[in-house]
This record gives sequence, structure tokens and C-alpha cells, in this order.
Amino acid sequence: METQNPLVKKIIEVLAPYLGDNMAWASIKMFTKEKKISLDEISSRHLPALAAKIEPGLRIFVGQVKAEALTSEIANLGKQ
Amino acid sequence: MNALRIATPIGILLLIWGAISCFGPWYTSPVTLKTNSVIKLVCLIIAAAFGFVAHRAYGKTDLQRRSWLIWSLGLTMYALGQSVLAYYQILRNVPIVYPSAADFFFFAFYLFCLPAAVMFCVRAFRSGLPLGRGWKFWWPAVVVLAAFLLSVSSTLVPMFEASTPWLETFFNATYTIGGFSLLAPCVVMIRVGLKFRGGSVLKVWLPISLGFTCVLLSDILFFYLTQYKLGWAERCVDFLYIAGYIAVARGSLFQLQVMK
Repeated sequence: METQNPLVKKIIEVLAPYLGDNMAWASIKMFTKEKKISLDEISSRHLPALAAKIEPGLRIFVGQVKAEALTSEIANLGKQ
Repeated sequence: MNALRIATPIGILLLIWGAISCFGPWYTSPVTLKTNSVIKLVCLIIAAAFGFVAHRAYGKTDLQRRSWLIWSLGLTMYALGQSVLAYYQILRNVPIVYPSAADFFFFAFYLFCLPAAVMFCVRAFRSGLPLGRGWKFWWPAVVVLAAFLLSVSSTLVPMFEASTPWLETFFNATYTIGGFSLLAPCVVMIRVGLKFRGGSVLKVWLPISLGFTCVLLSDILFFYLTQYKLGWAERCVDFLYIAGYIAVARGSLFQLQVMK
């Protein structure tokens, strides 16, 4: 496990059934690299931007409906 | 989704049947030929039908929607070609002539599926997911195309030098050029599929790309079969077709599951 951040683990739980563990991690790391933050620094305020970042890719592979459902789940993870 | 749940065991059983029938002593029996012909046709119909369902399931603004439509049209052409072969084998009980009407449909298959496969790859490349950039993404296609260029003297040149009727030469060349051209995006799709290990996207992309790789390798081998009269290769080619069609049908079925 590359981080103890519970939010990241939740995001992985949402994405991994579709993208697989490796791609789910790689997608989050790509986002953190772009934002110049570490995995531990991801907080609920980053979630809408992360969801927006991966939605176009998800749409290609799982379609608009599923992609919107997944990204909305990710965006709302911090509110739970 | 009970139908999807039983798709994998049915696919495995059909694959075992394909191996037994193609490499066993019953390969040339009429029952085996007819059964395998029906299996191939049914798999292609399933693949095309679920391709159209996937097309409809994508939103109207989804970029991938059109790729699935063109892909499914290509598979429909392939299914029509296979139905002509099945007509000869099952209804008329006569050996398949080459070339036949089926080959015109197979030719049309390349016209649809080649752009669709390239579109699948380009969409994946531009998806924004970390699938590799530039050379890292496209290298499998470059390797296949390089292999084709290196093999032109042993593939295309003998075709045009052989004293076969022009239509037969045309289809032989089409299957080789089309096979290699479609193989290039398919191997890229295999690599993309493997990036999704453990996810349901893998269950779609890997069977479809591996299935098509089997079919296209069969098309390329088919030339050697007819040209050099390699009898043993006929069984391998037939098995590769069956395995490929089963995999493509399974992949198309699972696209729907991924989207639900």
C-alpha cells in the first residue's frame, strides 16, 4: 500500500473493479503529479478535480452513464 | 445478467470442443464440419449483435459510440461471409469454393473493422488515462507493420507471381495486407487491455483483441495453406478461427456488463 490516506483507498475501491488496481493507482498518481501533491495530501477538496480529470477516460471504456456514476461517487466520497 | 454469467463456461466448453474436433480424428467428418460451421456463425452473430447493443448503450455524445457502430458493421459483414460458407457446408453439403461470395463480405469486413480498430486505439490514446504516450503506446503496431514490410518478399510477391486467377490473387493479397493492417491496432489493443488487469475493462478489450489476433493470424496462414498445400495447417487455422470467434463474442457480451 503506497499511502495510508483513507480517501485514496476509497477512490481505489470505486475505480478498481472497472480499471483494475494498477490503472486505478496510476490514474490517481497521474493526478497527484499534475497537482504536485503527494498521495497523502489528497483531500476531499481535490475530489471534484480528480473526478473531472478521469471522467473522459472512463467514458471511453465504460460509457457515459457508468462514467458519470463513478465520478459522482468519487466526487462525493469526502461528504460521507 | 444470468446469460453473461454462463457465457464464460459455455465459451470454455466450445473452445474444448474446437480443440478436440480440429486436432482429433473426426476433423473431416461431416458432423464436425457442420457443427464447427454453426459455432463460428453463432459466435459472429452474437459478437455483431452485442456490438450494436454496446453502440446504443453509449451516450450520443460518447466518442466511442461511432467506433462500436463501425466495428459491429464489420462483424456483420464477417457473419454474412460466414453464413455463405455455412450455406455451402450445411445446406448444400459441398466443399467451399474459393473465392466465393463469402470473400466479398470478408473484404467488406476489413473496410469497416480496420478504421474502427484504429479509432478504438486513438480514443484510448487520447483518453487521458495513463496508457503510455507516443512510442510507448504505439510500439506494438510499429513492430507488426515492420514485420509485414520485412515479409513482403515471402508473402505478397509469391501471390502475384503465382498463376492463380486474378480474383483469387486479389483476395489472397487482401487477406494478407488486411490481416497485417488490422493486426497492428489489435496488438495495441492487447497492450491497452493488459493495462486494466483485475478490472472489468480487461474482460472486454483482451478477448476482443486476442480473438481478432487469432482470426487475423488464421487469415495470414490461410494463404500459405492454399499456396503451399500445407494440410496440417488447415487444422490449426480452423482452431484459431473458432477460438478467435468465441473470444470476440465473449468480449462483446461483456462490454454490456461493464456499462451497466
